[in-house]
Amino acid sequence: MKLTRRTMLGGTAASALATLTAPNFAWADSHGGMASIHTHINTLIAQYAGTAGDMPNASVKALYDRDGFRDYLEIYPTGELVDGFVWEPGMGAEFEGPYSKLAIKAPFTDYIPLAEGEVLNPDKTYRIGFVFHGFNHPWLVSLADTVAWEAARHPNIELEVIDAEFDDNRMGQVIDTWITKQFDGILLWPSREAPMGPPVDRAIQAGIPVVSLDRRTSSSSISSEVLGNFYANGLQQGLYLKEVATGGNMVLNRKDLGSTADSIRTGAFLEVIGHEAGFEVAGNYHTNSQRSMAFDATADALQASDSFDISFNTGGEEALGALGAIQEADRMESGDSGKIIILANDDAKEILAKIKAGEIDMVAPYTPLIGDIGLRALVGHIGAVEGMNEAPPKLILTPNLPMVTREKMTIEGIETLTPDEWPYAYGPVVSEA
Amino acid sequence: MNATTINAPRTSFMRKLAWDPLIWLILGIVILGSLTSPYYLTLQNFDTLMRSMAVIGLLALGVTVVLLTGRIDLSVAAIMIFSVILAVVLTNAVGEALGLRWLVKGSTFVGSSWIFVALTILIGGLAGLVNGIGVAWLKVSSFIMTLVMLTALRGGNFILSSGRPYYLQTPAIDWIGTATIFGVPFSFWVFLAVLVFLAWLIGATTFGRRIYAVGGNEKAAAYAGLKTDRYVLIAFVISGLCSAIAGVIFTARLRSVDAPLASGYELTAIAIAVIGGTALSGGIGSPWRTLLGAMAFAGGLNLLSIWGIGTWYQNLAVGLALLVAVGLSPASRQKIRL
Amino acid sequence: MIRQKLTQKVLDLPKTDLARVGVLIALLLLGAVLSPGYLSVGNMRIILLSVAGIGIVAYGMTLVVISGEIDLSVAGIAVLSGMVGAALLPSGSAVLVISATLATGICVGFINGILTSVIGIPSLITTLAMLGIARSLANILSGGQAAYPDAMPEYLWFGSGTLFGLATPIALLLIIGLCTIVLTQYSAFGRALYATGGNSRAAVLSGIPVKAVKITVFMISGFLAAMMGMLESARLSYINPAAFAGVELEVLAVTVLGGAALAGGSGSILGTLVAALIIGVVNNLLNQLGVSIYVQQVVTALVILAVVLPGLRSRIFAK
Repeated sequence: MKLTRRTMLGGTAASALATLTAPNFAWADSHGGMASIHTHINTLIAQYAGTAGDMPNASVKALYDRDGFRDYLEIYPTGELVDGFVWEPGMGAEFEGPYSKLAIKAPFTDYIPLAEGEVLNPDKTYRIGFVFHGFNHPWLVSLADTVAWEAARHPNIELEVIDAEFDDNRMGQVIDTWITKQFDGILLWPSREAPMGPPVDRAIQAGIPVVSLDRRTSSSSISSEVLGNFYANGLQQGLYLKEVATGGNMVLNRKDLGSTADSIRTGAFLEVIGHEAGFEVAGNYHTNSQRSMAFDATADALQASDSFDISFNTGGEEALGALGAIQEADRMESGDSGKIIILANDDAKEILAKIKAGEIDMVAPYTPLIGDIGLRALVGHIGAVEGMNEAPPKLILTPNLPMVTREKMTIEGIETLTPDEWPYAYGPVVSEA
Repeated sequence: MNATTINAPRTSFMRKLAWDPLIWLILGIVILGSLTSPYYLTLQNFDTLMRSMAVIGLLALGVTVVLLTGRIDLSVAAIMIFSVILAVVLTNAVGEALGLRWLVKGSTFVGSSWIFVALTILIGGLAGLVNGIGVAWLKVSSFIMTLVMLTALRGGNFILSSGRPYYLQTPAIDWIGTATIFGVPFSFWVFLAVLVFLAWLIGATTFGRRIYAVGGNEKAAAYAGLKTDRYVLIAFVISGLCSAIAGVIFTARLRSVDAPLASGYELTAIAIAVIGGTALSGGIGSPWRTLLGAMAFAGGLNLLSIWGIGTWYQNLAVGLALLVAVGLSPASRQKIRL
Repeated sequence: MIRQKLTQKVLDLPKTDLARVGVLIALLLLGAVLSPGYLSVGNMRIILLSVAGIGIVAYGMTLVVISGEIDLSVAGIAVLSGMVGAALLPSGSAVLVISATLATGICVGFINGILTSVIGIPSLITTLAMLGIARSLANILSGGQAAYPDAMPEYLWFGSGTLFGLATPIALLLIIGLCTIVLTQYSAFGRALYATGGNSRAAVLSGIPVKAVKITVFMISGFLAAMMGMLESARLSYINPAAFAGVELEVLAVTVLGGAALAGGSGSILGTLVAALIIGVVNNLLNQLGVSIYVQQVVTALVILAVVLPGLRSRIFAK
C-alpha cells in the first residue's frame, strides 16, 4: 500500500483524481484561448523574477539583498492549477461558517470537486484531524470554517479540530497523538516551516496521509501542500504602486522575519518597485501581524519624518494599524502626491470597507477560504491509500486572485476588481462607529 | 528546619511513597487511560509521553535546584533555545576557521555534532552563571534577574538567527532525536541520567545538604559560616546546564531550531516543580519529587489528548491542578522570597 | 493648609523618584537631539498613548507588590473580563457591557485575594494558575473567537474618545494615577498597605487587617487589569481572547523599574508612572531610529537591569 502511494506521489503532477473529478465543461469552453488571470499573473511573476538581478533602485536593492529575498522566492512554487482548473470571479458556494457563524462565500469549492454524501467506503467512518493555531484570528477561523464545512458535507467523516495556540511543539504532540490513535488523515496549518517537518514525516511513515494548508512544512514526504498565492500578492502591491506613483518614501510593516508570508510578499513587492528609481525605504518594521504593533510603529515613523508617502503592509491587520495611526496623527493627506498610499493584503471585510471609503488604496486578496480544498485533497489521498483512486498531486496551487481597488483599473494586463465585485471577503462586517 | 525532615526518613522512603497522593494520581491516570482508550497502553503512546516528559522534566529539574535555594528561575526556556542557536552560530564559525562549510543552503547545519553539543551545554552553563552572578553577587532579585535574561535572550535569538530557522541535519543529531534503547527513547535516558545524578548530588552529598540549608534558613546558614552565595551561584549554573541539555534533545526531535520555540515553557517548568511539592520558599523538595510532578503533569495532559480534549480545557485542568496541589500541601503554603 | 501639606509631601518625594524623573528628562533631551520634532505635543501624545494601558495595570501591580505579593494573572483577567463583556454585546447596553467587564476583573481579583491570604497559597502560584484558568475560560466562553464592539460608541470611547480634552487612555492614566497616589500616600489604607508588606507579623500585631488589605489590592489589580483590557480592545475595536500574551512580565518590569521591591513594603505609584514613561520613550526613540523590535527587547532588558542593579542604583540614584 505504502509503496503504491509513494510511487504515485512521485508521478506526474497532472495525475487526475479520476474517480472524484467531474470536469466543468461550461467554464472550460468559455475560456478557449484566452489566458486566465492565474496564468497571466504567473507570466508577470516570471518576468519580474527574471530581471530581479539588475534593479536600478539602490535603496530597494540594499534591503532585497540584505534579507536574502531571492533565496526564498526562488524555491516558492508557482505554476498551473490541478486538472487545468480555471477560476473566474463569481464561482463558489455560499454557507454559514460553522465556527464563526458568519455568512461565507468560498471561492474555490469547485476546485478538486467532491460530491456531497459519503466518501470512499460508505460503511467506514474516516477520522480526520485538523490542527491549526488561533480561533481568535478572523483569517484563521475562516480557514477552520471551510474545513469544517467540507467535513460536514460527508456523514462518514469524523473531524477533530485542535487549536495548538501557536506552540509548534504542541502541534507536533497533537500529530503524534493522532498517529497513536491511528487517524485516517491529518490536515494542518503550520505556523512555521522548520519544526513541523519531523512530525509530518512520522505520520507519513505511519501510513497516514497529511495535507498542509497555506504555509509549508519542511517535510519532503508530505502528501500534498495547498499553497496560497503570496507571490501574486506582493507582485500586485508593487504593480499598483508603480502605476500610481513614481517615487516616494515608504514605510514597511512586515510579518515575522523568516515567515513565508513576509519573505515572499515583501520580496515580490521589492522585485517590482526596484525598477523605479524614485522609491526610498524610509522605515522597515516587523510588526508580526499585530494591529497594535503596526499602529505604534507607524505612529513613530510618522513622527520621525515629515515626508511619508507610502505605507506597505504585508497583512490586513498591519494595514488597519497603519491606517489608524495615520488618521490619529491627521496625516492622511500629507503624502508626496497628496494622500498617503496604503497597500494591503488579506481581503477582510473590514479592509474592503476601507477601500470603499478611499482610505486604503489597494488590497491583494489572500483568502483563508481554502480549507475545503485541503480536506478534499486529503480524502483523495486516503482513497489512494485504500486503492480506490489515484492520489492528488503533491503541489496544489490555489488560483492567483486579482487585486481589489476602489475604481476599476487595468494594470499591466490585470483587470482589478472593485469591492462590490468581491463577494469572498472574510471576517465580520465592521461598521464605522 | 526543613532540611532535616527531608533528609532523615530515607529509610521509610517506600512507605512514604505509598502514602503520596501523587503516586495515586499517576496510577489513577494510567488505569483510567487503559480503561477508556484502546490506544492508551501502546508503545507509541508511551514513546510520545516519555519524549514530552524528558524535555519539560529537565527544565523542571533545573528549576527545582534553584527553588531549593529559595530563588526562582524564569529563564530556563529562553536559555534552552538560545544555547542551541548560539551554538549553531559558533560551531559554524569554528567550521569556517577550519575552512569547512558547515552551514549549507543558507541555514542547514551539517557540521560537527560533538562541537555543537559541547558548545550548547557550555553556553547553557554560562548563561546560568550570568544569572548566578547577578543574583548571588550583585544581589539582584532572582525574579528580576531571570526575567531580564528571558527578555534579552528571546530578543537575542532573533538577532542571532535573523529570524530564520536553522535545520539541524547531522546523523548524530538525528540519532538523538529518534533513537530508542531497550524501547525507551534516548532523550528519556538522558533525563533519567540527569535525574539520578541530581538526586545523588542533592540528596546524598554535603553540597546537597548545604543547598537545603541555604534555602531553609539562609541567615542561619550564613552565620554557621556557609558561603551561601556560592551555592546559589552553582544552583543557577546547574539550571542553565539542564536547560541546555533539554535544548539538545528538544531541537534534535524537531531537527531544527527557531527563535520563538518553547515560549512560556518556563511557567510549565515551575508548575511541575511545584506540583511535585517543591516549595517556592526554598529548602523543601527533591529531584525525585519533580519526577513525580513531571509524570503527573505529562501523564494528565497525555490522557486528555488521547481523549481528544482540546487545549483550552487542558490549560484549565493544569491551572486547577496547580491550585489543588499547592492548596493541599501545607509545606508549600509559606511566605516566599522572590 | 492642604496645599501646604501637599508641597511638603512633594518635597518628601523619595529621592529615587526624582532621579528617575532625571533619567526620563535626559532621555527626552536625547530624543530631541537625535530626532527633530521629538518634543512635539504630537509625539508626547503618541508616547503617552503607547504606555497608558501598561501604566494603568502597573499601578495595580505596584499596590500588590507593596503588599508583598505578586499578580501574574493580569493578562488572564484582561481577556476573561473582555470576553464576558463581549458576550453581553448583543444586549446593546453599554452600561451592562462595561460594568460586567469591570466587575469580572474585581471578582477574579477577589478570588486571587482569598486563595492567597485566606487559604495561604503563595500568590505566585495562585496568580500563575489563575492566568491559565482565566485564559482558558475566556477561550471557552467565546469559542476562542474575537468580538467587535464597533457598534457601541460608549465602549469605543475608552480607546478613542476624549476626557478633559485629553485622549481617554491618557486621561485615565493620569486620573487613576492621581487616585492611587492619594490612596497610597494620604490615606489610612496606604499606611496599612506599606505596613502589611513591610512586616506582616508586626502589622497583624498592631491591629492592621492584613488579609483584608491583601484582598483589596488584588481586587484593585483585577479592576485595573480589566480596565486596561477594555481600553486596548476599544482602541483597536477588537476584543481578542488571545491578547496580552506575556504582558504580566512587561508590567512587572515597569513596576520594578519604578522602584517597588518584590520583597514588599516599598514602591511608589509615581515611580511606576515614570518607569512606564521611560519604557515608552525608549521604545519610541528606538522605533524612530529604525531599530528592530528584537534589538529593542534586548535594550529594554538591559535598561531594567541597569536601573535595578543595587550597586549601580546607589551610584545613580542615591544622591
